[in-house]
Amino acid sequence: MFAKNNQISARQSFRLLTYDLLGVGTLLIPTALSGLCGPDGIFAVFFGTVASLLYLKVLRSVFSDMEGGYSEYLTKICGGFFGGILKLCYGIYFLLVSGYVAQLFARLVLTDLLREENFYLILFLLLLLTFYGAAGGIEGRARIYELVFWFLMIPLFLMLIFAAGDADPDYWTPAVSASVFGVAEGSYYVFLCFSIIFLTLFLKEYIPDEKKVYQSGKRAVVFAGAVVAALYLILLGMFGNGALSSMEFPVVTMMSRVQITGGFLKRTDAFMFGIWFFTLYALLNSTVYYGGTVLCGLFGRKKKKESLWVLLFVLCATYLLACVFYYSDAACTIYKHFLWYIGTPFVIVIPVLLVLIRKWTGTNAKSQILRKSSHMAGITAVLLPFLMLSGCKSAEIEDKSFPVLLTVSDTEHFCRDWLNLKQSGNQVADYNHLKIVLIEKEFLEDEALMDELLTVLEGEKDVPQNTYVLGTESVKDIAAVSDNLGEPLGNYLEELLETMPYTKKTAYPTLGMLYQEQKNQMETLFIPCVGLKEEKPAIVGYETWKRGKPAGNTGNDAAMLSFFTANQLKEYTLELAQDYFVRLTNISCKQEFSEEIEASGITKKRVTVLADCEGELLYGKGAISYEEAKPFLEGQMTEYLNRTAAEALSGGIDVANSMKKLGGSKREWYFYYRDVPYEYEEDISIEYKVRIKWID
Amino acid sequence: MEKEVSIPISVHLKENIAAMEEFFHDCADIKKKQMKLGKYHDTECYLIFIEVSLDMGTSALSETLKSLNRMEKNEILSTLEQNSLGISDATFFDRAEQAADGLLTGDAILFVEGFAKAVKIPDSGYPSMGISEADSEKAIRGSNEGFGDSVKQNAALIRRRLRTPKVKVKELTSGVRSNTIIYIMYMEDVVRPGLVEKVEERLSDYEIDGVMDSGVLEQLAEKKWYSPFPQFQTTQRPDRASMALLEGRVVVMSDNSPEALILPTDYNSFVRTSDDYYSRFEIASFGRMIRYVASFFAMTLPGFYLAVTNFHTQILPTSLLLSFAEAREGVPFPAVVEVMIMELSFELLREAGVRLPGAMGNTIGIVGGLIIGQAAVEANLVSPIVVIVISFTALCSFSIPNEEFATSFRLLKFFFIVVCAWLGFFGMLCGLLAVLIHLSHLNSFGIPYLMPFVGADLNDYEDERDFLWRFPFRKLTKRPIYARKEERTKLTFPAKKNEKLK
Repeated sequence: MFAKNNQISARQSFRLLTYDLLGVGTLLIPTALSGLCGPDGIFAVFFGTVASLLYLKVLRSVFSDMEGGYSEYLTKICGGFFGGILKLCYGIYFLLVSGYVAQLFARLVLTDLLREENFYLILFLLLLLTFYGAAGGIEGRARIYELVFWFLMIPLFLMLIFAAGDADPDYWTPAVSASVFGVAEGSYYVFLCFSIIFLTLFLKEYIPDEKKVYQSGKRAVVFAGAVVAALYLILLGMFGNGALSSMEFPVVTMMSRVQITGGFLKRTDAFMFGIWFFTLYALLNSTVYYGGTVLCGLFGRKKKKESLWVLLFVLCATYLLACVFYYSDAACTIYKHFLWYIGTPFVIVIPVLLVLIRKWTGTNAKSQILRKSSHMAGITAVLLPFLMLSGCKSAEIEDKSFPVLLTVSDTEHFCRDWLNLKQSGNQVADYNHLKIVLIEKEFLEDEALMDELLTVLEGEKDVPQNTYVLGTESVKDIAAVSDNLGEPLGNYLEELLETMPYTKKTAYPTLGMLYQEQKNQMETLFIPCVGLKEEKPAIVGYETWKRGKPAGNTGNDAAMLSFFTANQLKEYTLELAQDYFVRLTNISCKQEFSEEIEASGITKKRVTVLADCEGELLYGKGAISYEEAKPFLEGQMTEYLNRTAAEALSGGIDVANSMKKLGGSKREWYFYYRDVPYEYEEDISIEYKVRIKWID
Repeated sequence: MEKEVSIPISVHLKENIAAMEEFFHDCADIKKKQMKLGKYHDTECYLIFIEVSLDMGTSALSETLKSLNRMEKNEILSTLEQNSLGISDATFFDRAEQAADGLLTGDAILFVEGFAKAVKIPDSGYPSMGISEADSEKAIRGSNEGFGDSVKQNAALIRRRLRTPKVKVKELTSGVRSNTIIYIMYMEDVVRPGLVEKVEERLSDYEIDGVMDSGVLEQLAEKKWYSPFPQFQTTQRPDRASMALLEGRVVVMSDNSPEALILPTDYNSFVRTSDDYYSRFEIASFGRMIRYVASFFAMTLPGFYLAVTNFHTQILPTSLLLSFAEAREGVPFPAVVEVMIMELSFELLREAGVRLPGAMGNTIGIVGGLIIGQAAVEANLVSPIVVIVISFTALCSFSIPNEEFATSFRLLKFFFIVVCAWLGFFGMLCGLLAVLIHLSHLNSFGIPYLMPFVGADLNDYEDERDFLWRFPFRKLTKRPIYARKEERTKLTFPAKKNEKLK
């Protein structure tokens, strides 16, 4: 029948390989590419994918010549001695990769799912599952991935679609700006992650039709390449190059920031963790399984029981290596160097050599004790986690408090409050539901204090990145009215921001945006300041946060103009002349950059904002008629915007946030100001051109 | 599809016997008797009938045989020639296949040496009186007949649905002291070659003193005996068993047991119900998807609740989370103990409800569910949210159509409660992976347990038309993977073909 014929289908092979490629690929490639070639990382993904496809062609000429397994083929082509050495090298390669992947897997669990759990325990459980999975042979392994494939891919695609809405295309620029060497390095990195496709050599044993093996490999590489490319663009657009290159697992952070419409789930990162759980498990399982297979071939162990012992040995070695990698950064560095300079070239060169050799040569060619020991091993396997059990770190839901507001007035106060909240009475603070960080102005304007605060908060994985940041003159004054609000102050302030009639909620800075800007240093953010109006908190002004640093307070006008220019306003109501109120809707602004040589010979750089919108005269009882008023109001509007922008610019604030767009629109400016960003606001002038389509 | 065979009835009884043997070899439920009739016992005859369909007491057959026994040989032949048997609806057949079909309607067929026709003598027919409804596997549409304790009667119930001589019955006995009759039923031309032999081998692999129910056979014949998942499907419904035979599966029945075993089986078969095929495809697909989701939640929901409230509170909206916390205020036990208490209480109620006689069983459900539950909440022993979680989990487990299969999920639920209370969502993922690995290693007589989620290509993806969803009936033209490859077509539209040819 079918269940035990040691054969797998092309579909199973494709899904198996896709999982192998996606796990490490999606976790590590974005950060690495961002550091190596910035926005040009997308080209690196392309070149890396193409290189992997070419490599697959080489592999095809090897496995089309194979009759049995790869292990036997090595012996057949290279002879017993050299074949043995190659098998040993493959064995070492698999052991190192499995050790690193196991370490990465356990670290990911500790970082993003179970922060206070024991590393050894997590690792042990993962390897136990790996043993169970690998012991079932290729068919069992293939079936798991065939089954879960779409159950995981569909949520991943949905999340990518949701996340794509948050991506800012300005961060994708400047394109073609990285050095050739940088892109080459990035491409090699992608290829390095995708080189695991050489596992097709081992799969040939289970799929006799070499065309199917090749096709499944090709589809897996293309699929993984497409997913990584899409993911890279979304991550880059969401975080910016600077922030992305400093993140450990940006894709997991992205999942924590994506908001699903409907509000049924607040955050989905824990759910989405399942994707990396299964993909990393797939790779771990593959490397352990093939490591075991190669070593079995090396030592001539063919019986099932013997191969299980070899598998157990591989798992023990993986456990040890993972511990070494976890505790020693130096070991990790050595491993990365190994993979970069030895491991990947090795897996490339060997198939090429085999093809060449083929062309040159033209050849075509103790049971009771064991059972008791395995029982003992089984019992130990079950008992060990309990021996290492570090105690349940969870707290009952009623023993937790869920602060929705964090107030900060000075460092001492913050630390005290933080600690009080962390362990207030018998309750443990769970910051997962924090909505607002309310910071006193004095603190907000102090760069060192803010750095310290953001470092602390960024280190606390509980604190959501989409927590809004607000400023205030006095935290005490705001807190004093909280009893009159009928709901917690944090909820009230969040609603205040999210239900603003004229501003989109994406206009207001969150903690994630502040963390990002510290690294990207591209934008000016306007942090709303709350004060009291009719005994209730209301937005009374804005604090600016320029390129990751506090830059003093600013008035409502500049902030609103900035939101207007960034298309973050739902509507904009202005009194343009005495008694003429105009409401602008459907606002769309574009920026153009130009240079003018003035009469004095000085080159002046101009940023022109072209604003198109619909206008409605809300109230007008001036002397002129409505029709006559329209061109007049347009002129008034342009004058008002230019005046506000110029005033802000004189204070060093670029309300158009134009520097962010330089990469895509004015490359020479970008490269110049990248090194001297502080000169930018001094050199430019901003001009608004407004076109209003009047609605009667 | 079956081929047409046409054999004329001969005057020589031996030829007729051979023809009937050709049709009904390996049919243990069909009795074939060679007798001598007539005053001087000199007329050879052959009576063939379905065992449980005859009443030898006062029926027409009995009276006919008595009267023929009083005649001489020539008289017998002339009586038959002139149709003067005195039975109004006796039917004469010229061809053996007509006689076979006549037999399968539940009547007896008589052949007499020297008489070139077969006589169908009506009798009591297939059993219907005294057949009870199936206790489990209730269907909204379709027959509600259920198997009884007699294996012969059960075989006849299947025969009544599948009136073809291709349905074969092999008889075995099991149990050194009980000598229990075991029937292995299969569709001769559809079953995969070697499967019946493998089933026989598996069933005679052991020696046991007594077999009191098919459950004993199931446990002894299962290869992975430690698995919580059943590897044999059980059914009390003759229509279900008949459907299985049409799919090329084998039905094993044991005397004194109303549960028939169906094999090979897979996850998908357990989630399907017989009325899935009697209802429109949209309704059937919707119901099936709900059952799949229910099977997942029946296993994971209490664990998931613990993982979310104890570890990953960020998943829930703040207001919902706060109401959870508020509901837990004053409950003296940790959430995991609370969930365990509720789950065990629920299992206790279920057990008590099953053991008590019908009306009292219902009372227990009401007393337990409403009164004790309400009192427990009011006494702050459990929080209302946990009651909701446990009730929802119970609903999910009840919607799984097969009791054995549902039980495996109920057991795994406790495993998930433990791992989720220990390791949160990571524990849940580990648990899910372990279950998946286990399921991927399971197979039933060579068929992967996860078919057609895996290995659908083995049957050209045809089985994917009938798994999470059910395609419209006219698209279900192929038999599933269980059937032999050359007999996979089960539905054709000859009229359409002819139209196209025209």
